Amino acid sequence: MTVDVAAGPILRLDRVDRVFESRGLRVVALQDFSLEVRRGEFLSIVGPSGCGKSTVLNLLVGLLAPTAGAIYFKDRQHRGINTEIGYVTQDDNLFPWRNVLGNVEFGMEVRGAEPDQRRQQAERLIGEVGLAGFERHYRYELSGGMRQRVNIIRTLSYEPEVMLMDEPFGPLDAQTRLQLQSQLLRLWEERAGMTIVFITHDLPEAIGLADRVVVMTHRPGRIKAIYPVPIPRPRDIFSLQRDPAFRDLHDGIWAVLEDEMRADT
Amino acid sequence: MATREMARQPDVGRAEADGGVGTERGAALRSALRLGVWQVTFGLAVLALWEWASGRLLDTFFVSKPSLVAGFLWQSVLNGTLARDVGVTMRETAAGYLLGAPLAILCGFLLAQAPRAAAVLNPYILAVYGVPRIALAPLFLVWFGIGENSKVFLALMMTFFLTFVNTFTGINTVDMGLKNVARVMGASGTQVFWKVVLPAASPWIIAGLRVSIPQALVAAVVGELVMSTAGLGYRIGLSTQTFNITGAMSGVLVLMLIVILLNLALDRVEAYLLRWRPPSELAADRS
Repeated sequence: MTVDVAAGPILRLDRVDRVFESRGLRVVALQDFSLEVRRGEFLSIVGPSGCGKSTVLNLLVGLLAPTAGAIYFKDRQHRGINTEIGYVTQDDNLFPWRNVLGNVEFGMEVRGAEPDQRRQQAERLIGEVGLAGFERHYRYELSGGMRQRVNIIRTLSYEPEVMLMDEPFGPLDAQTRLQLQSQLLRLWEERAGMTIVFITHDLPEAIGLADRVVVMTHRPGRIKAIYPVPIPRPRDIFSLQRDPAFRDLHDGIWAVLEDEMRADT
Repeated sequence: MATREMARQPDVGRAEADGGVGTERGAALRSALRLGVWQVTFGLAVLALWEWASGRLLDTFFVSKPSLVAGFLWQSVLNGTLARDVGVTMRETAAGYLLGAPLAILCGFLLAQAPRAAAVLNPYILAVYGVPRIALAPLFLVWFGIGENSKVFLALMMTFFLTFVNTFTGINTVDMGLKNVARVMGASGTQVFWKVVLPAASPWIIAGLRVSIPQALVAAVVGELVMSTAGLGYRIGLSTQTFNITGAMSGVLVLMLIVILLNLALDRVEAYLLRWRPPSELAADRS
């Protein structure tokens, strides 16, 4: 959990533009967007709908290329898909033809890990998120919360240094969301040095989880402000609402966010 | 693209009831048994009606009756003609299918990699596919002769088109999200194809393979009806032409039986291969 600022940002977007053209319409999703992600930190990004949050993530992982500007990974410019980064989206994208075990093993499988190792690692992770006993279940037999848990550990299986998460708990009910947030923090705390970039539209979630919260403007997206979250760790997600420090920070950021949301209407 | 509409939708799988919940499995079996009983009862009722009506409401010469048909069938079993006819037809079907299916999957895969070529060929594929088998049968006869080969080619053609269209569509409709997630996890292009695209397309491909089998059989029989020297279709055609309605009915019944058995077997194979698919909502309503 110790953020290493001295070692340089693990990820960096440098004056990035991203323009989408479709059917004659030109959409500037991001303009002159720069952001540094510090090693080992948990960074949240919030912003009004359509501000380009997902575009930022897609640029970082390499599924999209910038129209201008550059992406840096560990101080070297990176082009194309970055397979050293874990990517968790709102759609669980689990392979329906594989059971839980098969899905969790996939990342290790394509990297050539030994079957025994894969199996052990997968079973360990499955147990870590409380899904022991569900190894042979198929996707359709799992609830939304379970699917996302599998989605997350599937990415953790090959131990990436960075995890990018795009509103992973979006479609889940409020209670499940809190449980998964708590579980995510535990998983992260177990893995020293891992960086997480977490996108959400849910401000309490963003603050509760992160070391820093980035607030984006409405489209074309730019950074409006960055707020450090001084709440000490380890945190208890469930009781955070009562913490006055949390509430003050929330109200402060909310005012800024509200501005951006109104400006979009 | 119109070929997408042509492709047969993959069958939604049936969930195997979780072995852990004993009563669930028992209930499913019991309802399947009940259904079977109803189906058999219905069949017997139809046969009984047929037996009774023939000679009273309908002229036996034109409709025959189950007792006569049974007698004729038994004769053909004894003198070996049934075995020979069924053998010929099944051989033609199997040959056409086993040649056409892999070819279709290969072409479907190749064309899915070349969208521009596919677009150019699309109307032609639809045109050839749209011609009824029976119109092509005489042509095949001239090309491939009166023997089994012409029927094999008919069966091959049906198999090819159905499986090809399904394979092509299946590969093209693989969810981009699945491919992306695989690539981000480090899968190479080849790995994405074998480990993601093919499995994701498998419901379509399997549906195509499955529906091709009865269609291949029909194609072979149609070919035999047009002109041949052996086979079930030949037997039915010959019987009809010599006003041996009993013989014709026997042939049709055997054909029906083969189709029913084939479908039963194929359904199980398909259900097993696609057991990971979510069960259809309708399954809950079938009591």
